[in-house]
Amino acid sequence: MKRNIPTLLAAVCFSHICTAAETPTFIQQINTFWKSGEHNQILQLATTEAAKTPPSGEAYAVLFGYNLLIAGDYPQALQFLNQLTTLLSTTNPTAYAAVMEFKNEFLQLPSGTLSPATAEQLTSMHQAFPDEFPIQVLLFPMGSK
Amino acid sequence: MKFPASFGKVLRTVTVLALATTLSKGDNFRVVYTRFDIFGISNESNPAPSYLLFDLGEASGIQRLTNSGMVLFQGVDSTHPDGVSKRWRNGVPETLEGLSGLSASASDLNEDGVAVGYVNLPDRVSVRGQWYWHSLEVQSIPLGGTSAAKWPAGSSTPQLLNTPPKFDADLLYHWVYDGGGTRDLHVQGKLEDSHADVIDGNVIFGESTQAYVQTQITFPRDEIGTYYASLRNGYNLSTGSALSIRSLTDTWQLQGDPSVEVISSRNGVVWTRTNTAEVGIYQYSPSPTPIPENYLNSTLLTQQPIHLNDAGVLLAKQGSGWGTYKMIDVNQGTETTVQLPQPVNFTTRGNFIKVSNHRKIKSLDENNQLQEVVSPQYLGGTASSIYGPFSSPNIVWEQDPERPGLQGYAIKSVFPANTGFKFSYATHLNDKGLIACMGVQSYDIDGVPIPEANQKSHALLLVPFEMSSDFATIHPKYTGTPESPYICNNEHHHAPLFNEKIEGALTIYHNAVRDQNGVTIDFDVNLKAPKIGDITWEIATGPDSGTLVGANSETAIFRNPKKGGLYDFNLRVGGQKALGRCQLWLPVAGPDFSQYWESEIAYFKNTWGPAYRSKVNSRASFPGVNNISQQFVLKNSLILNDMNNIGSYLDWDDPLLGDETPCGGPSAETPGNRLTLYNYVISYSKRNNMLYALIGREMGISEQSILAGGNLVNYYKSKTWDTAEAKEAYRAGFDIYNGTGLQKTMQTRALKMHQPGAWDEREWPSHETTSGTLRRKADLMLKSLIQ
Repeated sequence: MKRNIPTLLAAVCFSHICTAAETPTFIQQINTFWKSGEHNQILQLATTEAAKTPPSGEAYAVLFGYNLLIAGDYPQALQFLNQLTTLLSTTNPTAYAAVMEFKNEFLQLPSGTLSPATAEQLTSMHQAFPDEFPIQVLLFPMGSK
Repeated sequence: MKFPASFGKVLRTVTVLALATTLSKGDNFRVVYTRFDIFGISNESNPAPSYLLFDLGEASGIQRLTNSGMVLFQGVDSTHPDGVSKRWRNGVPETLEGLSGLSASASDLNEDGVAVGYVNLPDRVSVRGQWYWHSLEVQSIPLGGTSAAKWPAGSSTPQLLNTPPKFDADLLYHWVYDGGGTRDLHVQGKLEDSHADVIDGNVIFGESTQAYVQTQITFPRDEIGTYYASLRNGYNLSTGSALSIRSLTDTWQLQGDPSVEVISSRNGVVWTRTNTAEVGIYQYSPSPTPIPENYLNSTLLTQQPIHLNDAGVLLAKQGSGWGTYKMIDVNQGTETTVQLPQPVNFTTRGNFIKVSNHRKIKSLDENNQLQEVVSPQYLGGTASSIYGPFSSPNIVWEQDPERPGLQGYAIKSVFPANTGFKFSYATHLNDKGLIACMGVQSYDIDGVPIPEANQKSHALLLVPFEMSSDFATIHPKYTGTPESPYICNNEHHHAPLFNEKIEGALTIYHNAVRDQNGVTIDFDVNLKAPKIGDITWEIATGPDSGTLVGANSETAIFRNPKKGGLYDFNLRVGGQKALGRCQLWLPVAGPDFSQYWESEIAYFKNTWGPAYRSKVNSRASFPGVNNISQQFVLKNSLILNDMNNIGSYLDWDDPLLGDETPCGGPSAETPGNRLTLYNYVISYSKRNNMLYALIGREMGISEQSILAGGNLVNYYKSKTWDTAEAKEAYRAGFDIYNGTGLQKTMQTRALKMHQPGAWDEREWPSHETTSGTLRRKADLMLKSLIQ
C-alpha cells in the first residue's frame, strides 16, 4: 500500500458528510489556523498538543516548523526536531529513519541568521502553501499532513 | 483538500472491499468455461472423480450398465414397441438384430459385452407337397415363437441358444380325409420356445418351453395322394417354466425346477422366485453345472429381496416390520440388519437403491453397512455437486424432492443452465462410478433453447475421470454458494471464469512449480479414466505447451507444460467423444507489457523528472526567504505537498488483454489485474508502487520518506503496515532510479514482490506480449507539475 494521504483525508471528509460531527484532526486545525493567518493559534494548539501524554509527533513537527519559519528561533526549532526524533525512535522506526535522514541533511546546512518572519516572508509562504502549513517535509514521512 | 476526487476514491475503495469479500474464498473457487459447445460437470477433481458426459443418442431407457462401461437399452418401451434392443459398447451404439427382419429383445448384458435375450422367429408353417402331378397349395399360419439368443461382444447378429426344433418325421404330418369335399392336413410337432433372461459372467439363465403343436391346413382339392410336407418352424407357447443353466460353451439343456424363475444373478448369486411367490437365493460354483445339483447354498428367504447388486449383496426387507432390512452378502455368508427411518419404500433401478421419503443419502460401505455419507445431496439446484458418494459402489439416494413420482434420482442441471441437458435422472450406478441417466435436452449445441414440445429425452453416461499432480494445490470444489464471476471486463471465453459451479479444474499455482529464479520446473499431470473401451485422450484447447504421453491408454500423462492458461482435454471412448472436458488450470497473469512499462520509465527518467526538478526550483523562490534552512524546509515541503496531491492517483489501470491470457485469475487485493513483466508476474499495486517510488525519487524525495510515507498512510488507513513485498516494490523503483534496468530489477526483486497467498504469487507469467498501453491515471496532474 502506498502514500494515499488524500484517501486518508477523503475518508475523514466522507465520514464528516455521513456523521457531520467528527472532530477535525490536529493537522486539520493547524491548517485552518494557517489559512486564516492565526499563527499564534498554531503555536498555542501545537504547544498544547505537545504537552499531552503521550506527546504527539505531529505537534513536535509543527512546533519545529513554527519556530523555524515564523518565530525565526533556530535553536528552539532544533530542540523540537530533536524531541521529534527521540519520540519516533521509540514509537515509529519507519518514520524515524526518514526524519533522521531529513535531520542529518538539515543539520549540514548553515543555520544562518534567523528572526521572526516578516510580512513579505509570510505572504510568500502563504502564496506557495495556501492550504497547508508548510511542514510536509516532516509530516509526509510520518504519514500525516 | 481535494474533496470530489477523494470522495470518489473512497467509494471505489468501498467497492473494492466488497469485491474482496466476495472473492475471499481462498482455495474454494472454481473456474468455468461458458462456451456452448463445451459441457461438463463440476466437482472436486482429486481424489473424488470428476465426470465427463457421453450422449448415448438413445431415447430408450437403460436396462443395464456394466462395470466395464457398456450399456444395454431397454428393448421394449414406448419408443420401441416392437422390441428393438440396442447396446452401447466402446463408444458405438449397436442395434441388436433379430432374424429375418424380425425384432429381438435383450434383457441382460455381461461385463464382456455379451447380451442375452430372445429373437422372434418366423411365425409361419410352410407346407409343401406333391400329389401326383399336382402341387399342394402353400399356406402360412401365424403361430409366433421365440428363441433364446445371445449377441456376442462386437457382433449385432444373434446366435440362437437353443437348437432349432426337431420334429419327428412320423409325427410331422398326416392327413385326414373328411369326406366333405375338403381334406385337412393335420400337422403335429414338437416345438420349443425359449428366452434368456439373465447373464452372469458366462452363465445364462432363462426359460424354455417344450410343447406339442398341431396345426390344421386345408387342402383345396378333394384328392388323395402322398404328401410331403416340411414344417420348418412352428411354435406354440405353453404354460409352465423351467429353470435352466448352461455355460455359453455347453450345449443347451433344460434342467432344474420348472417352477423357479430367475430374477437376477450377479457374482455367482442367484435370486429366484417360485410360482408360489417363494423367494430363494442360491449360489453356484465357478464351474457351473446344472442346477440344482450344484447348489452350494440355497436358502428360502423369509425376507423380501429388494436389490441384488453386482457384488452379490442382496438387500432384503426383514419380515413385515417397518424399517428393518437385511443386507445379505451371500458369498461372504454374512447378514447385517439395517434400520432405516420410516416410512421407506425401496425400488431398484440398476445398481441404485432408492429410498423414497428419506432425505438422506446412504452408502453401503465395505462392511455392507449403510452409512449416511453426506447431508442431502441430490445433485440438484443449479449445480452438479458430485461428491464422494459416487466413489462408493453402492449408494442409497433419495429421490429428487422437486420432482416426486419420477424414477431414479435427479442429477438436475448437471450442465450450465443455458446449455445442453437438464433435468437428468440417474438410473444406474456401477462399481466404477459410472452413472447412467436420462436427460432432457433443453438446449441445442449452440445454446439455443429447444421448444418444450420438441425436447427429447436422451440416455446419458457419466464417466468419472481423475486429474492429479503432485503440485496441484487446488482442486476446485462446489461450495454451494453462488459467487460472482470474475470476468475481467472482457467476457473472454478463454478465460477461466470465477465460480459458475460447473467444470472444476485441477489447478496448479506457479509458485508450486518454479525454482528460486522463477523458472518453471518439469512436472506431470496425470489423467485417468476407467477402462470402458478404447480410451483416447486429446488436448482440445490450451496454450501450445506440454506433451501428452500415453494418449491411448486409461492413464495418460500431460508432461511439462511451460505456459500458463487453461488446458482442455477430450476423452474418447472408441470413436465417441465426451461432451465434457477435463480441465487443467494454470492460472496465468495478463500479457507481458514490458514495452509499455519501459517507455513509461524512460519518460519519467528522461523527460518528466528533469522537467519537474526544473519547474519546482522556479516555484521554490519564496520571495524574502533567504535563509538556507528555511528554503530547504519550504522546498521539500513543496515537493512533498505535490506528492501528497498526486500520490494516490499514481496508478496505471485499464486491463491489457492477451488472446490467451486476458487477465489472470480473480483478484482479492486490488481492482486491477496482474500482468507480466519480463517473465515475472506483477500485481496492480506493486507495479504502481514501483513507478510511484521512481517518480518520488525523480521529484527529489528521499528513499526513507517514500518508504515511510506510504507505510504510515497504510497503517492509519488499515492498521497494517506496508508489507515487506510492498516495500520491495518501492525498492524496485529506487533501483530503476539508480540506473538498474527494468529486466534486471525484475530478476532481482519480482519474486520478493509477490504477496504470499495472493494471486501474483500463484499465477503463471504470460507467454504473450502486448504493445498496448495502460491509462496513466494521474496524467493531467503530472503534466501540470511540469508546465
